[in-house]
Amino acid sequence: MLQEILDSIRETMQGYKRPVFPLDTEALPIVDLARPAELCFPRSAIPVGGGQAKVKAGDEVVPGQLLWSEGDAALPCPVAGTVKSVGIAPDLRGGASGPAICVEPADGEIPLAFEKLDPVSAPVDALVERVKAAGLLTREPDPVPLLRALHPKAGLDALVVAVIDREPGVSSSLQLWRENTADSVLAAALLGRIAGAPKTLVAVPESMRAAAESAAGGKVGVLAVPAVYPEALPPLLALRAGAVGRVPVVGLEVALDALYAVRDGRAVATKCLTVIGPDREAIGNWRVPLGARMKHVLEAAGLEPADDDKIIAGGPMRGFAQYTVDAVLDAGVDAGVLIRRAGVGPITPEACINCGRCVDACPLQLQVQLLGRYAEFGYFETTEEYDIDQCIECGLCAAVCTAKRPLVQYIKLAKKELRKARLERTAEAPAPEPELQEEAS
Amino acid sequence: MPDTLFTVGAGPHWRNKTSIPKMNYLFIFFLLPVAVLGSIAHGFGPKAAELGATYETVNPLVRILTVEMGVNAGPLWMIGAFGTIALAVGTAILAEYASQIAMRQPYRANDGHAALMGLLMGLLLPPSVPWWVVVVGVAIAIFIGKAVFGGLGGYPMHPAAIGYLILLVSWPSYVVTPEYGSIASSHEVVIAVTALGGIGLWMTGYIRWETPVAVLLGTLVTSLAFWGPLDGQILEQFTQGHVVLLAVFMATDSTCSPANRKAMWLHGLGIGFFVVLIRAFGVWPDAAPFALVLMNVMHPLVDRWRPQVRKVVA
Repeated sequence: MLQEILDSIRETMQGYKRPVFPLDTEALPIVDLARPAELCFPRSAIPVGGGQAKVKAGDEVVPGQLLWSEGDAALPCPVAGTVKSVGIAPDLRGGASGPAICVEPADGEIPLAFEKLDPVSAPVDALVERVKAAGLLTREPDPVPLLRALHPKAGLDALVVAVIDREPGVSSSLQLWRENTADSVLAAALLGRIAGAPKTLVAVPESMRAAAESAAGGKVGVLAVPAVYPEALPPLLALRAGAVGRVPVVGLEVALDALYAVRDGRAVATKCLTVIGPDREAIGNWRVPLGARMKHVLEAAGLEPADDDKIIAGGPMRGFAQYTVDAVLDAGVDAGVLIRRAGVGPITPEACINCGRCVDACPLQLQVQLLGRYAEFGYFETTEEYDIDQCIECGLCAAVCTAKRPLVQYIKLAKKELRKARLERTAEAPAPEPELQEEAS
Repeated sequence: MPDTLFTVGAGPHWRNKTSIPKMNYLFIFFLLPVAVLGSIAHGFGPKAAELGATYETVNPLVRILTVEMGVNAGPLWMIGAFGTIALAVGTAILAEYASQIAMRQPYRANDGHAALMGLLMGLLLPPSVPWWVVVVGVAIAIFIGKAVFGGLGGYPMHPAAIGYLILLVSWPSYVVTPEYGSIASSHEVVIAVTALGGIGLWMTGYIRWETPVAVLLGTLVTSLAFWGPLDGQILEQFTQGHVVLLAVFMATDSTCSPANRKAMWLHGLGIGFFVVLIRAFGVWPDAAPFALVLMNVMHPLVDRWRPQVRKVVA
């Protein structure tokens, strides 16, 4: 009791400090995680969300065989094995549970899925077909098919391959670069070729600029980024690289996956992620088989979650809290975070006290205090006047909020309502609302 | 592990540990030296006989008791600097509690805000003020200044300033006593400690430096324009009345001040300007709370002066 009071006094006297989340992380070698006896492939791993299972229980599957497909999105099977069941898996992003295909992988090496192609001399059409067949997605919290991302409607000024990790504490992408520098440069150049980009840039922390320039050797350009959250989020990288809306940003791991699918004929079978412990310390990087579950990663990291802890798929700022360790990891997850009960920050419905911390913290200088209040009371139209569409949902506002308001959720709510209103206005008859996977609670 | 129940909630999952109670208690912490030194400067106990003599002219009951019946009625009437502060704080918390019961709101009088408002009210009043004036003023501050607007986060004007101003226009002879300044403005040392408290608040990060500096600068520049650099009036603008207390502890109240740093400059300079203007032309000796309330109601307007949004979406 006394200790609690003393802690509270000490914390109070520390006062308010603007948090700084650095992004240039220490090197942490990537360790291979043993393949679990059962891999699970939920339909929610492809962004469209519809579609029928292409296999049924008892089928033999081979790498590259489609499990789910819908429109331009597809999920090919990464391993050879037997389909055990088509069941239900929890949604990683807070949506309703959905169907999932469980595969029992066969022992031994994974056979190649595709013919090998030469990434430098193969015709672009063949490369595009290969990327489509490999089912590559961008690795954002809300992934989209890679080819769609590479060809923005407004046209293409440049392509950015993000080597720098997006979120604080996460080091999987930088570590991939450190361990596969030559391949990374090759992969970036390959994506540039596929996209037909006038220039291709690799985004690295400022401290690594010289090293990256010598490694790139003129094949790709280098974009040095201040190593502080949220500078490495895709919209800000794109802004740094050129015209708004004309610069797609792709993570390094996707580029490497594309390279391996093209050069080595391998289907995407793994996913690198950083596990972050309760003291905000990076425990390690793991190369996780796609289809593994949260519990496999936590076990490997030696973390034992207890009641009331928070486990998060994704980074500490934008990840999604999971209600079960059985959550299936997909390609969009670049970190796993455990927060102990004592460290779980409260979220309260208190009134905004206009302290302006969110305004100070916002990287885009939005009037977050007004956005939050307008959204809270349903004035969604008004939030448009305050540029709510610009918000990149980095979460810094809510991280510093004195009143502990759920600012990002308010903003997401307003965006969702505005999208709905726009759809109704344009009366685009039955166009279904894209499935929203934002509410994590 | 299968039966473990996890906490779920939306991101960001790393949040800092600031909170509204921490902010309020830090304000109170840095106000305590002001309260203690102000009380010492006035003497802790009621200087009953002297104060009673002061009030025999204004209060019939005291006049009858002291002059005609020869009873020292001072202690019945006024409770001294320390008592005034304590009464103000206690009344504020009770009034907050009562208002939350009356409005069927969740009870959160322990967030320190009501106590802070009471403390500020007590400091603004002279130690010779009758106790029931303190009670009425603080109750007004909490009910009319704060609760009816929706409580913390809702009020458009500083509740303590509202309470003080209503007392000022209702019972000017109790509130304005030339012989006994208010507790906060009793001595130069007290004012210096107030300024130090501001530096402490700035170092702990709960206030931005823009507002206090702008208020003081606005006062200085405007008074220079009125009186010229060598006039003794210039220093008096700061050593008399509540400009420093207001600049540090009241103009920085986040609910009724701007959120943008640029707008904070405008807000603060406006307060400084009106302080001197009202002092030079108005009838009230201390104009600071008037100026504060005036700029408070303008803060949404001032806050429109905001930085350009960085566009990341076409």
